[in-house]
Amino acid sequence: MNRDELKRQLKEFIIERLSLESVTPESIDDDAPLFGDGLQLDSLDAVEIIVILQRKFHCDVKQIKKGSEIFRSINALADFIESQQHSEP
Amino acid sequence: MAKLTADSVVRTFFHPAWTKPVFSVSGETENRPDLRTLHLLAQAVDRALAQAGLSPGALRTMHVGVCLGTTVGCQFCTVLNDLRPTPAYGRFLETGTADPQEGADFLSRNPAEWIAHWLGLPEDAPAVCVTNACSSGSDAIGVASFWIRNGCCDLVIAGGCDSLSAIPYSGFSALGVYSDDPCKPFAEDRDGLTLGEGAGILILETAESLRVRGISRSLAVLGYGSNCDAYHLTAPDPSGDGLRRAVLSALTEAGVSPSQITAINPHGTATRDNDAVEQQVLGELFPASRILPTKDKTGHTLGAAGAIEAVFAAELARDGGTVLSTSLAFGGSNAALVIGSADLPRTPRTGGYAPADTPYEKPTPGKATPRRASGFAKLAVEGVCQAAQEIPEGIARTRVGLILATSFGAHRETFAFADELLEAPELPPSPLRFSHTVHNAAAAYATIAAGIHGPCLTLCAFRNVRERAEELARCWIDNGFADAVVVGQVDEVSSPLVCFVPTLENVVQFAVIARR
Repeated sequence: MNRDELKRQLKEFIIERLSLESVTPESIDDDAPLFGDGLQLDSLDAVEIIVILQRKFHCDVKQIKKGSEIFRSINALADFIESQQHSEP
Repeated sequence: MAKLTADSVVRTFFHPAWTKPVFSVSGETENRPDLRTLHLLAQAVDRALAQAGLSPGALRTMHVGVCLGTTVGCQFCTVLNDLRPTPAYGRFLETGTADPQEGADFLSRNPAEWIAHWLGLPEDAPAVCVTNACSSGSDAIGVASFWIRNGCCDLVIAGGCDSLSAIPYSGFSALGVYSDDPCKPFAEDRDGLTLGEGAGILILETAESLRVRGISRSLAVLGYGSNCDAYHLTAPDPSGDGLRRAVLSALTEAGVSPSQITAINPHGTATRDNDAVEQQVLGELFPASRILPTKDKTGHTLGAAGAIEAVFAAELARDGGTVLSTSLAFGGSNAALVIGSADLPRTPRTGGYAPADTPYEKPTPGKATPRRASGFAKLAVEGVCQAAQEIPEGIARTRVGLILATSFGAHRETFAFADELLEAPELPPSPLRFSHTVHNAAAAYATIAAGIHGPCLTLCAFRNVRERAEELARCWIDNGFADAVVVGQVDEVSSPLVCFVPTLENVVQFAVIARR
């Protein structure tokens, strides 16, 4: 999967699972913060995103800590997913 | 007499898994995983009645009520057994239909109504479950104390029950707050809760009824407080204001000062946020009291926890102490009980319970519903916000309460969560969906949307649940527990339920009862 396709899927899963009804994949800036000012997500959304990474992108999330850098933006999440896919045998 | 400690109390009064029945327990629930909650409950009720010197025959000559805390009114174990669907739910998944007998069985499994039936109580005996997630057991004992006070019962069988289930286990794991090692309440390196199962029962009885039976009373529920955070679905308000108000309400009703509290059995789940808030509030109000958490020994028994811990508090109070028990829950519910000697010198209460704060502000009509709310919760938010327009002016927001009655609760979310677990048992399920399986998630969204900061309960029963909720609301007003209460019923139709209960329709009906 190329990076644009990965980010589009990621956004669609996030919009669906976090009930972001007024948001479209196009309206999410790839570098905008997900928490605080940006999409205004909170810690409960963060654990949901961790489960999306596991269920939909088969990521190993054991190393993810609270306040991790990977939640900074869509690009940061995509970096994390790609790093996991590249490390697979 | 040797001082009781949390350790010795748990060793003496907690029976993990209740494998050996002590008294006569009906064989119906034995070896039935789908009836395990009822099995645990029946044994605890049996023991409690025997200790109180009561036979089922004697109960039939009295006005008896049953009020029990549980997480989802037994729905967990009627849906899944370990990670397999129960036979009834399996048939529904396969064929899209349910046997009429299975529908009748489903309807008979509200724990409070089941116990009332099991004991042969009359059809109109008050029997409801409190489904306030992890504070349910404490709240059920609080409701029972109101039933005793307003004269509707001579005696109430009060407490809570919950069995282990794959649903909360997977849910708390997905939330990242589960510890596979026994949990470590209040420890610096605490890393989450550990589940347990069980049931705890107290028998509450009027002084008159005890006199007629020739029994002298030693212990009493001296005070109860309930207050909601109106802050977040799963996280406690870091300010601890809701918990502080619940504790102060319970102390005010008990007529005791913080310095008279000799010991505290806290909620102490060993999750980082819960323990931090509790430590802060209890440390500030009770710098000199012993704090004795017990979940490292019992596990977190969810809807039973507050009741099992009230039993521990009662045992700790036997040597003359006055004991506080606190509970915090999903949905921002906070509950506190004060248990001590019935003869304790107490200062009579003057004025209201919770300290007054900022005036209540009505929600803007037609405001957008909360983003994550489920269908059931959205119905509750709309109904409560609309009714809240009738709340009289000049009442503090901490003195506005909510009682939400429901027969079926958040069953749609429970079924959806179970389906997700069945679809991929090796993968973690949605933590968001899990946090919506508790019936009081709807009340949590409603309190946040409507700005209600007072006592908040979700009651669950199949019969007369709205009438019970309205009676309780009037009792709260008459006793000064709240100045206005939004009270009503929410029920939502869904496909599995339509098979079980074909006549079901959506119900959303709320009103306001206020002090005159």
